[in-house]
Amino acid sequence: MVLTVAVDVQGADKARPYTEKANATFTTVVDEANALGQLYGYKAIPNLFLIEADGTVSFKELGTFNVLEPAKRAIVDQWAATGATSEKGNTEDLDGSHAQANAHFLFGQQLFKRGMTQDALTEWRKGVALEPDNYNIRKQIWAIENPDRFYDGKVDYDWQDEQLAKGL
Amino acid sequence: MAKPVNVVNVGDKAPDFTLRSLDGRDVSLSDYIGKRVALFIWASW
Repeated sequence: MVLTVAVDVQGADKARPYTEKANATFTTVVDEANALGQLYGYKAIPNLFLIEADGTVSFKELGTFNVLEPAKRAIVDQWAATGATSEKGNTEDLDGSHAQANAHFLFGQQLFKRGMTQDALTEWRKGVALEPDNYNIRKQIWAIENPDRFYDGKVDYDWQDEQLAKGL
Repeated sequence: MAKPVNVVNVGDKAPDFTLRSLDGRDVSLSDYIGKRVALFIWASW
């Protein structure tokens, strides 16, 4: 079974065009609060977890699982067909700042839902200050402030690299 | 004092969660017990 999780505080309306374009036959759920970033322990996406029938994780790749790359899709296909993958996957080091960074993110998400966008951005920036390589939070800030650089199937990655170079 | 950090590694049980699907259903990982699941986490940014 394939279960996909779309991460975006702006919810289902932002995610739906992508799955419709892909003619998705799998289930997609929306994680507006970045709940899995806390529960599973990650600070960047896209990610893949392969989970066996007994609920045990047999593979994980964090931050780099771009499903548009055939080599990445082959990991899932091989696992589905043979029960295993020859890939090694990866992991991330997280320290105590992760929980606090996510707490700022969550607080900001509640403000955002109440229409307090500037206050939400302030909270999210506090989260990034605590955990600078938390791209879930960093990119959410960008996506709110610069919607023209995101969505509609055209994400401007060159622009993102420019923001990083500027220390944003 | 640093707060504990939850990290799911290979060999760990996948923590259960419930999130709303694009078609408006509450979906839990535990709905898939007994099945192998490829959990793909992505964003539109």
